[in-house]
Amino acid sequence: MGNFNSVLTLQKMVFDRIEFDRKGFKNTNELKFGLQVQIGLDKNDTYKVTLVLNGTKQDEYNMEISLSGFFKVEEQEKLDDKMVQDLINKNAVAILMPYLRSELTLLTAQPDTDSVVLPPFNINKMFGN
Amino acid sequence: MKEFVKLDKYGQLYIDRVLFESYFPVIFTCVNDKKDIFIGVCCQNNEKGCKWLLGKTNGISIVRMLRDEITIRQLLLECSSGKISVDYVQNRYIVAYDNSDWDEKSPYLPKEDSYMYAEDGEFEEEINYFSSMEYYVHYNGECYKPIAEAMGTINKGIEPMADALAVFASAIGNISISSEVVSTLRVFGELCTNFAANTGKYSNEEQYKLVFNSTFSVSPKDLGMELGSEDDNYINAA
Repeated sequence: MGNFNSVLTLQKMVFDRIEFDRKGFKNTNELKFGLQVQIGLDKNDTYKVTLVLNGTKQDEYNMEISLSGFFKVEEQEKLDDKMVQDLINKNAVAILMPYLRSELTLLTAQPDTDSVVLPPFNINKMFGN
Repeated sequence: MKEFVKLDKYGQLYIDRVLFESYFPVIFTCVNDKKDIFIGVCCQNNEKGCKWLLGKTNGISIVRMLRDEITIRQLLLECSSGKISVDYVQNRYIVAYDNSDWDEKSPYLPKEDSYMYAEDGEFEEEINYFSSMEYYVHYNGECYKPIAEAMGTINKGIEPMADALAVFASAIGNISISSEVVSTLRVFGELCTNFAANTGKYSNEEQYKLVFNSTFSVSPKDLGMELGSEDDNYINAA
């Protein structure tokens, strides 16, 4: 059997913040979300990738979900910078996105609230091909 | 530490800990200058020469082997990378990667049931040592130097602007991603309409006079249930 190990390894993953702030009863106002991606690097070559999803449904609720994943790229010295950048910017974000999506659905699966499912994201387009 | 062999891929290896030995180290660990950890197994030592199988691994996997959670074979095949084969013949080292020595039926690999079979406390010092070798992952964001950031808004009906994103090389900019709200609870709401109370406008707590406010402290023992060997256990559990 071949070796399918990835050079990109996920060390830890945690939710930093899960907030739901009720403003009013269910309405038909438009739902707006903002997605923020923050990537940091520490001295041990560990990347911290944080996805922050802010949502507002006017007069009904505000919500925020922050999710952080800690990644390491094995044998980084053998990879060119662009490949490492793509692994973190694209693959790491793509790995975290389903967990963020699932948590949003769980958070909005409440009485008198429409449950929300984020669509699939084209991560390549988010960060440029 | 004693020098072992110099590998073109991983540099100079030094013998770190000997986990099992006879007249020579049989199962041992190595480190290189970058503090990468390697597991080494001597699978041949006779007139034909010496042969070692080495794999790049980590402290956690070695601890698992020392605790007999995995076999030595599993550590080499499943919990290490590199598949390094080192031969010492005629006073020189010959290094190969992922050769036939690593085939599933290779006679050089440890057997299927090759546990360490450690006695209680035999590897306690080594377990503490390898557990401490795992690097610490910082949670505090101040330890991380920002290298990229992206922001975007998600509005229903707005398609991604692919052309604008083409210049998003430094991963900083604005993006728009369409979304859709899925009403998964609509059926439930309709079925219960007749029973729902019309409570009027939702208001914040400030408009309600506080009549009761208390916190409860309950011992976990009070919440638990002990099930004896009785016929009505399931009823009690419900």
